Amino acid sequence: MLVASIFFSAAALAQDQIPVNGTVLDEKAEPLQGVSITIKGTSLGTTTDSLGKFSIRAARGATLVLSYVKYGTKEIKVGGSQTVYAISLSPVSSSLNDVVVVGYGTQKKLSLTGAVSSVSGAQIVTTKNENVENMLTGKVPGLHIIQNTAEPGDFTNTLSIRGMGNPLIVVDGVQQPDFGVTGGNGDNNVGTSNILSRLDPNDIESISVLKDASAAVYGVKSANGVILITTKKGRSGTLSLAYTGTYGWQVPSGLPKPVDATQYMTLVNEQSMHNSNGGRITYTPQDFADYANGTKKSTDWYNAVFRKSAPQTQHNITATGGSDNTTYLLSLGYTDQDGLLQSGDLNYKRYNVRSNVTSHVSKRITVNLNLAAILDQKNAPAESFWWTTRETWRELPTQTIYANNNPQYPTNGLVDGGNPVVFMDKNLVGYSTQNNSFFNGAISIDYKLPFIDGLTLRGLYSYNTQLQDNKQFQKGFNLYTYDQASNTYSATGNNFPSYVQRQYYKYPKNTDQLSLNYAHTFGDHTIGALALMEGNQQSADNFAAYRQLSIPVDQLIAGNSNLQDASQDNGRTALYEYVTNSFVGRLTYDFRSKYFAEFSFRDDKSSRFAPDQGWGFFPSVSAGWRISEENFWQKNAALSFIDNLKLRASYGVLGDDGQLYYQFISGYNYPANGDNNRLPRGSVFNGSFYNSVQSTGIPNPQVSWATSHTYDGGLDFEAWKGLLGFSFDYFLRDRKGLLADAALQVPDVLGAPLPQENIRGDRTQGFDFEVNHRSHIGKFNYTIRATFAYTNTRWTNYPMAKQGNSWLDWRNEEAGRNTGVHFGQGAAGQYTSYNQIVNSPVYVGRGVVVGDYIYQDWNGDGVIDDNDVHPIVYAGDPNSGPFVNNNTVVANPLMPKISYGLNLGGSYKDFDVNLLFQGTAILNISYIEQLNIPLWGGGSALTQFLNNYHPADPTADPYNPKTQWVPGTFAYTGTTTDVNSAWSYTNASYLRLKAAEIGYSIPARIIARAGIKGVRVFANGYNLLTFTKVKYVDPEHPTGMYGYLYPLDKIFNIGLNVKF
Amino acid sequence: MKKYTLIILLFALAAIATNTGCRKLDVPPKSIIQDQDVFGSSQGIVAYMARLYSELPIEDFRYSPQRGLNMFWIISPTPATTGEALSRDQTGSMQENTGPDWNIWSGCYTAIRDCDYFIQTIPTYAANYNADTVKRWIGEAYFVRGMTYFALVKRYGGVPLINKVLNYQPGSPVDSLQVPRSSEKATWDQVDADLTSAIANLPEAWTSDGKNGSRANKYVAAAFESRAMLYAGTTAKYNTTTLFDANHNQVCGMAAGEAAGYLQKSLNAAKMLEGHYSLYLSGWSATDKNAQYQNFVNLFFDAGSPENVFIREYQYPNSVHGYDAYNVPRQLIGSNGYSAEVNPTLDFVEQFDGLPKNADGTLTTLDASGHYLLFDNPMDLFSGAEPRLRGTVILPGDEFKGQSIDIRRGIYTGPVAGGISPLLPAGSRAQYPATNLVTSSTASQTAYKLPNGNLMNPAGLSGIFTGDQTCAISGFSVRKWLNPNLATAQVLENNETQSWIEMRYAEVLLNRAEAEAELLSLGQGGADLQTDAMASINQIRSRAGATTWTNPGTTPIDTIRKERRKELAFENKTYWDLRRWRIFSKEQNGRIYRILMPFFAANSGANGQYFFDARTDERNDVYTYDPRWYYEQLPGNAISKSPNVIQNPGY
Repeated sequence: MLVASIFFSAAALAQDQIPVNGTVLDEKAEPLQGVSITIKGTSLGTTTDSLGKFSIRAARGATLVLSYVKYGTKEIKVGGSQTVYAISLSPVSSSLNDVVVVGYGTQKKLSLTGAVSSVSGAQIVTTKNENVENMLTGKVPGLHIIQNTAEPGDFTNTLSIRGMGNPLIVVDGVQQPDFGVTGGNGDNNVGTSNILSRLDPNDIESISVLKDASAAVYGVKSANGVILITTKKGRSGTLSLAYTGTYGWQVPSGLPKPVDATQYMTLVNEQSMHNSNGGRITYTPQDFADYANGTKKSTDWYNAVFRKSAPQTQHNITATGGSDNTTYLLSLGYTDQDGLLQSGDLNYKRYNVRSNVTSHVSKRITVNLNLAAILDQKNAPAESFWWTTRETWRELPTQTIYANNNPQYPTNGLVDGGNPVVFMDKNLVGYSTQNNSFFNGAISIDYKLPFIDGLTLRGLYSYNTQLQDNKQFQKGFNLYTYDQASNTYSATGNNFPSYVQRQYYKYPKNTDQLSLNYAHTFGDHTIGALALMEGNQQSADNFAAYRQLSIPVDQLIAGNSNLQDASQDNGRTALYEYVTNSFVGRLTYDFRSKYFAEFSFRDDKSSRFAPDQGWGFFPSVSAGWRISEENFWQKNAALSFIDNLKLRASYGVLGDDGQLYYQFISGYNYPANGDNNRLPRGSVFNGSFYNSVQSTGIPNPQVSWATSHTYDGGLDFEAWKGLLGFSFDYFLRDRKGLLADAALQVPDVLGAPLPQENIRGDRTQGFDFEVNHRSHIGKFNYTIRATFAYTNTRWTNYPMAKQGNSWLDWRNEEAGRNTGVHFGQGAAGQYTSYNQIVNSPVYVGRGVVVGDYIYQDWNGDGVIDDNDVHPIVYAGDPNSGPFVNNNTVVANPLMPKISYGLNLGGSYKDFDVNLLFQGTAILNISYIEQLNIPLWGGGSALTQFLNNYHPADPTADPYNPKTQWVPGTFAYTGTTTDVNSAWSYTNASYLRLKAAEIGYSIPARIIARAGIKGVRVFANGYNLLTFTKVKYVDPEHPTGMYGYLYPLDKIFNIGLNVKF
Repeated sequence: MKKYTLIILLFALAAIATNTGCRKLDVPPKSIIQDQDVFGSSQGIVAYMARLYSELPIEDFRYSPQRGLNMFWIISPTPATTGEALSRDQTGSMQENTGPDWNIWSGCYTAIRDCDYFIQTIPTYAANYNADTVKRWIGEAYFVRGMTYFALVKRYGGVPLINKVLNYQPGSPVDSLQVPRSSEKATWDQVDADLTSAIANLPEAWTSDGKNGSRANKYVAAAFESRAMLYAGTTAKYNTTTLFDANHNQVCGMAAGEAAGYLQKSLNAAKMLEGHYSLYLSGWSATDKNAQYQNFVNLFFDAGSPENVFIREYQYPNSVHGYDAYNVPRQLIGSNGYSAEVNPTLDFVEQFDGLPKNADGTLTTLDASGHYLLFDNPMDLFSGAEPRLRGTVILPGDEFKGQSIDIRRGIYTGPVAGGISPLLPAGSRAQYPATNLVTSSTASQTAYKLPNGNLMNPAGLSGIFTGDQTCAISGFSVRKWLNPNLATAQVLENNETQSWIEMRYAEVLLNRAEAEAELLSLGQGGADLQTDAMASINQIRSRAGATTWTNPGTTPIDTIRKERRKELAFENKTYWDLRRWRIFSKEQNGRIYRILMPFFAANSGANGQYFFDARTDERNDVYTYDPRWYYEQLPGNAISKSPNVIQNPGY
């Protein structure tokens, strides 16, 4: 929608040719440079200068046509008395002419035949976060993002396109590896992550998401879809500087608090009264009185450990400029994030540097050099955050932080011998640092071949590497117990002897591409062709050194030569080298922008494939039909409000070798897999440890990648000149040959590890859509963008042995069943009275009290047992997620079936506002340990458990039918839910205000004198409001690590944009 | 100039072109090694042997019925299932839980395959080594395989016998792998055959390693043969469960007539060790009880002990356990927050000689008038006990790591004139009354002011606490295996390294005596067997400082079993003995074990005195062992994946 305000200015001058002067401003009243202005029906024209000014002579009554990329065209009739025009252009929402980045190229959105969604850098930065992935949430239909943690330096997210699993990340045309950032830095390790999470959002021009067969050009890596990131390039002109900065406060979103002493003693008494053999009171009225009258003081472990808020700041400065021949972009970013620990010892810093230079060396040759480096450092106390959280919740409020309240003697906690106030302090327990350095460098040369118009030869070489350098200094420390009888403090040594561990991981990768690109139009026919060769080599290596310290200096040199160890992680994500060769071809055809067809293929060969495997061939076809371009449509006036209606369909075969390992060889792992918690890696003979060899078992010479057959049908619709846009896709992905071993069929007497086989299959289907609306109410301009996606996966093939009877077969069968279906007991309310227990239709044990959970007698046989187990919820595996487990990423991560977003943007005069609502649905979560059980394992309890059924008189016998009960959410202390029942699951659907931003741009006239082109101040919030049934923690809070992982956060930012 | 730039750029393009599509794809995996690397050098063979011995299924420091083999976390320890002890996390009898971490069924077949593969493959590489070396390696493979079948048969009865490497072609039918269970007898015979092969192939000693005992030699194999055949013989004699498959193959149980043959093999094997191993007596003195105690303690730590037949060694940081962390008395707790998981029962302690006993064999805690006996020092009650008791159990007030181990239930503040009557009626399972008793819910205590003005904690530093069971809940703490020299800062999980002595000569003597007594009861052999059995037992008794065995009595087998249970207590052997004797379900039939609670009578004597209350477990945990468990349940998938395999009775 065009909004123009034309001001009447001066008197008319000449009659025929009149001078027309004007200024073209954008929707924020900033000058637009380079707007093309032509006189309709002539070839005369001009462009605006850097101040948006133009000047042209035109006949009275002529029409000026203004056009500017993304701002569409606008016609102005000149004449009358006006000669000076202030013209305002607004971006058009019609994105048909937008150029979208696709695999190995670009396409106009108009001609897309695949399901490709894209989002611009400007749309990304409306959310502010340290992780770019979190800035994409809700913005791309079908892109599911689950934030697993807000821990500084830990970027572990679950990222998936259409629920299909870990997608391939491509940055500026180069495939990026998933870094197995295992670290193993004690418990401070982080999960796998990719470079996307650490990019500077200000460097991103656009992100495209290839959701269907359009990803097939990435062959054996493409099955889960592809995320293409394009970084910004320089623009010619004088130096332009842009600064963006935010400062924010992070506040935990859902971090439960533990009870105080009185509450604790109440719960303990409930638990000890809760005994059908006769209960008793553990804490006497005197104990309670001591706290009530101030003789004793309850300990607040939570506030001693956690801050109310932690600061976070991000800054970026970008410089662009250049001549017609050479343009450059230089960018420097800085991120500093503090953690929630009171000690301040958990924090993260990151530096992003980028230099992107393009030079037209000659008329035919263009060279681009794009260099980027990311350096980051995570600092943490040697004791991990999750353990500190666990102890903060667990230590008793009846015990003081310091023994006898003497600050020289931190208490040796009665629970686990812990003390979280010590654990968070690096001066006491030592520290852990993790340094990552990423380098991405790519040089490309484009050569427009002579003789054939439209033919370009392109070469690209890219080197990417990540180095991870971890250090852990674990320092011995004492915790104390005070003995009143003898007035002595006795020390308990922890973590002695002190040690230093260093770890190095290296992940280099290099890529080269040579391609021929052809694009030409012959009359009504436009043809494009691509032929490309690509080679990739990717490896991982590492080593670690460990020394116990002779002297208390935090360096390896201080180590004791007797207790030292050098080791190497031989896991699949830590030690490997893979080489691939590939050929890519693509043909596109476009008839009058009405009919489109595309065919592409990729041929892959990889060192991961068995030697006689041959090449993997991955073809795709797609077609599009713009019905709105048909004559019958255009002649129909009733349909004229529709600007564009396109039908699309695609089919492709995609591959997945992500889990493929050297299963075609038999041999030995050396040293054997193992650890101190289970089977060790070897044996000790006569005082010496010998690493052992572990048979890799049966080889499978036929093992191959999994294939995905991906179908997509889509519809793009645009009407009322961009007022309404709509895009819908239905998709179906059939995967065949998913890797699994045949352990469900092969008897154990074989005695050998089984190889992966291509035996399983699944089908993922669903739909996603996007709706756009842009309009204005008076001077208030607004945009609405809604995204929605639904996805479901079920097993189509899941071989297993028969279980012996049809009930067990049904119970264990996976084939034909949706993934993520959990079996368990159903919930049927709580006992609200003694009578209800006595008259229960099912057998009730003698321990049952009022408030206890009732399980559903599903089969109606009067007994609650394993035969009542049935599918109860959809929930991901609580222990899965992107965490690396035995060096393989656990499949089946927690993934809601529905995700949606609603983005509202608006501007009024110098103010702008942006709201992003985002949500998910159809997912259940369940917790164990302290989030499930009060007083778990002899520790304290979280405050939510005070809301429970309990006798009104705390000394009343809970088994006495006359006892009066106070109802609550949870059962009486001592009754816990069956973790495999509906009682332990909560619906984790949520709707939240993910981001809100309000900005004010200082009018240009005020700041122009200072030589500043623009200043905008803004306030931004992240995760501001959440609506969910999950009461005590954030609905996205991961259940892994027993629920102790770092909480998600809300962030309140203030920020500044300045352009020079 | 520009022209040159062009040329250089075109060269660059050409270089990329040459590189692309021509990368060599023959990249071998970085961390997989091949047969020739392993079998081609003696270092490779050691690595293979390190695998076999790590897989060797023995119930060591890292075993509990709750979590199976090879698991670090031992908080429901084996003795808490046998009645030897009580533990915080174990509340009753249990069937072994065979699958959670190291699946015993599949793990054993992995070990068996690794042995079979070695036996089949080493001949190809034999030319590289001298013949004796190859022979001993083969002997070791037979030893590990025999031990692995032993681990299976003592749990399940007859199992599939796999004596050659099986193969599986991915994607092909698995019929040939659906091997049925052999009879129980055939399985015991397989154990016998493998250990006999081991004895034949293994050398008398490892010249390189001396008699260290972490790898098998001829006598190691013989000692285990004596154990295995004793298990076979007693199982044949006492078992009453039978199961036949469709082919009339008896997969559970054996004909009683088989017993004598196995017992004779056990006896023969045990005798092989005579003269090569002996009981540890290095600090022992016939007259010094303290030396006898110290000697019994040291026997578990002296690497040069002639009693060590087979051990599993540990070394930090690659192979470790956490025995001390889980079991030190509460007052010596390490920083992980564990302690006192094994708390010997009074029933266990009462088996030892030299304690004051009532007519029914229970410990005397009351005087003739029915009042508590009073002691200035709690150790006084145990002053006459055989020294082995102190080497096995930490008694209240005993010394360990230079500290007096302070075990006390509470302070009795009531009147003492005329004697203190029992706090509860005899046999009562009720809670102690609150009146006249000061106790503590946790280790964080408020001191009590005694009449003499001194402050005293209500509970001992090592318990007993009313709200925290990480303490001596039975009134005792375990002593055996605890390292007296381990600094408290080192009392950590996954940090301990003392060796596990899986087979010591004392057991060989006990096997020998038991085999002899059982043979006699079957009418085999002559009186010399009785004499020999008594001599073996007396070797152990005199070392223990116990009274010698002079009169065989009517049931000599009971004397031998009791001796075995005392000598091998807390060594994870009693669990299997109770099973093979088929008395588990008789001993644990609604049973609540007994404990001994020390109290301090504040007003007694000038400075207070101790008394002891013997009672049932305050938690009232009831132990009932299901006779089905004598044959464990096969894992469900062992049957579902192999329909020829049948389940044991009752599951």
